[in-house]
Amino acid sequence: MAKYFLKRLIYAFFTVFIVITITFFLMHAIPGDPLGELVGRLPQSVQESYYAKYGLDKPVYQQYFIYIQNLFLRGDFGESIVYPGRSVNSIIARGAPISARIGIQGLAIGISLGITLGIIAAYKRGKWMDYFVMFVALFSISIPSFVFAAVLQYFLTVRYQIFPVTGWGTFAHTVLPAMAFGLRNIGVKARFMRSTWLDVMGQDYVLAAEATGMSKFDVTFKVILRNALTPLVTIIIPELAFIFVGTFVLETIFSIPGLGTYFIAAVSARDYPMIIGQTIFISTLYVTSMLVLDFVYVLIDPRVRLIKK
Amino acid sequence: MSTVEKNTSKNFDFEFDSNKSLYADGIVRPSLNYWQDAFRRLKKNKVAIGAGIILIFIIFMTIFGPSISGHSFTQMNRQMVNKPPSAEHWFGTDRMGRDLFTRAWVGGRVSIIIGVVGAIVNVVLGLIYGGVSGFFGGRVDTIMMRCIEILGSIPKMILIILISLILKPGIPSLIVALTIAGWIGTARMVRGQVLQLKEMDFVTASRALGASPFSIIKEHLVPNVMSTIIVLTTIQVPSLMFAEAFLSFIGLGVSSPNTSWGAMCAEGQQVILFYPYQLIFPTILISLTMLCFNLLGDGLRDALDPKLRR
Repeated sequence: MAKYFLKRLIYAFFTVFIVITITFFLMHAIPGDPLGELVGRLPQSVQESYYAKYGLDKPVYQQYFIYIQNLFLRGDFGESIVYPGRSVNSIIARGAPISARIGIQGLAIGISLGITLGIIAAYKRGKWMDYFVMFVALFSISIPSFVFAAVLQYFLTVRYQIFPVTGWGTFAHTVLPAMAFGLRNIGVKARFMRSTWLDVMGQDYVLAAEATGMSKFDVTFKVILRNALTPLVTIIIPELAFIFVGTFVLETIFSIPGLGTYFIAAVSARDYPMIIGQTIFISTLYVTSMLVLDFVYVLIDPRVRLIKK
Repeated sequence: MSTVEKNTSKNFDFEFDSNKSLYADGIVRPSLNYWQDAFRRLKKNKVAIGAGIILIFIIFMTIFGPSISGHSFTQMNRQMVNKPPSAEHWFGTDRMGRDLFTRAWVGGRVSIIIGVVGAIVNVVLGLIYGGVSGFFGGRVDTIMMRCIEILGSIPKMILIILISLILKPGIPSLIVALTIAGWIGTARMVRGQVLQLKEMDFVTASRALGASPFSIIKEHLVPNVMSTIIVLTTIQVPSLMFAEAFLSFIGLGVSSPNTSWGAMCAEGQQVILFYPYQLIFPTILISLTMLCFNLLGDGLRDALDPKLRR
């Protein structure tokens, strides 16, 4: 068992390393110069010192080794070009909690409503309620989140001034973006939960539990729910890393100073250190969450333990 | 059956009361092959057929819509800036006085082309990669899956953004950027199916008869994954359209004067406080199209693989 996890850990580390390499060279293959506009009119000597400051005067492979060294020895992502004087680390530390908050609130809405709707649909299978829930689910998957965000923004801030239009600070600011983020999740989770629930309901152990004379309530919550939630964990954990990407556009729409706003600003300004730093940050989170998933899965599902040994 | 009927009626001096009762054991319906059977099931699914009809209408409009309004999609008019819908401009005009009805259908053309072409490229790439990986198995499989795992751990949207930064702006490079990140899921799914299929008895039998790997792939594997492929293609269209809209929204999608539904949504969103009608039409169109592709995809899945139906 320990050997298996050690192997996974090494693989994960290796994956992150390759992602760093790919991102680094991809970024440096982009035509255009991040400092071009900034230093265009400055005298030659000042220009050179600017390039030297960001290490851009050296050949790409040397920059790569310096970057790797800084990253692994000191965990340093470098300095932002768009926001001079601020390190990428500090920007991530500032933006990530904000994005995470919207994402987690949105996920909470999506998961709780999605699971409930999915279970209702499974019990009312083939009835109008089932069709209705499944249609709502499909509908929520089909609407792009930013479209829904715009609609929410129009009705709840412009027409009826219930929530603030844009900005960040109070709980009220988080409600609309979280709802927009959660909507799609409701559909995905409801569809997933419905099919898992039906799957579990058809298993022999449920029949066996019923045969022992357990009440319907007990069968539902002690037998079916426990077994149906296991597969759900496999789709929720990887999503935890992706909340940072899912909120990108929403942050732009609602002018929220999260990671996405910085990322998009960095993209349009070709801010190398920012883009590479954030990509590595999110990818590392993802790889870590997959690793955690492996551990958790072994803990909650004894059947996996047998196979993976 | 008709020849049988003739023969029997010759042998008797009398007529049967009902021909049907005599042939009660016979096969009355023509035998259908898999695709005919699937099509028959699809026709019964009213929702999927309805979605298909709406899609055909939308596609028809993206082809002919721009020419029936009488305005060009790039033609600007200083006198008609930000005008609400009217008899002259059915969807109103934008901040440059361009006719939004025309632009909506021109944008739809771009969105749908990107969605459909992207989905096809994705599925073909995934089919080849997943097929090779699953079929040859062993070390090849391990290495190929490791590569996918690494590519898959860069978030899709970030990968798309990075690649569209490198390529020159334009529709072909948009499709390239969207597909580089998109084929991974298809490849995984095809691999899984191939792994399952190649253990089946009919493949073993075929191999025992001396069939080459190529003919096994052609005769057994491709036809069996075909239904998955069709469903996947349909379901991928909306997610590609979404990704395109996302890119347009952050300014990396199609560039002006060309447009797409995503770009129109982005423009409309900026003026939502003053001219909400500019957001409404592209929003409805993109959502309706994505919904129809999803509904059609669901219908196709039920029709092609009745086992999955619940």
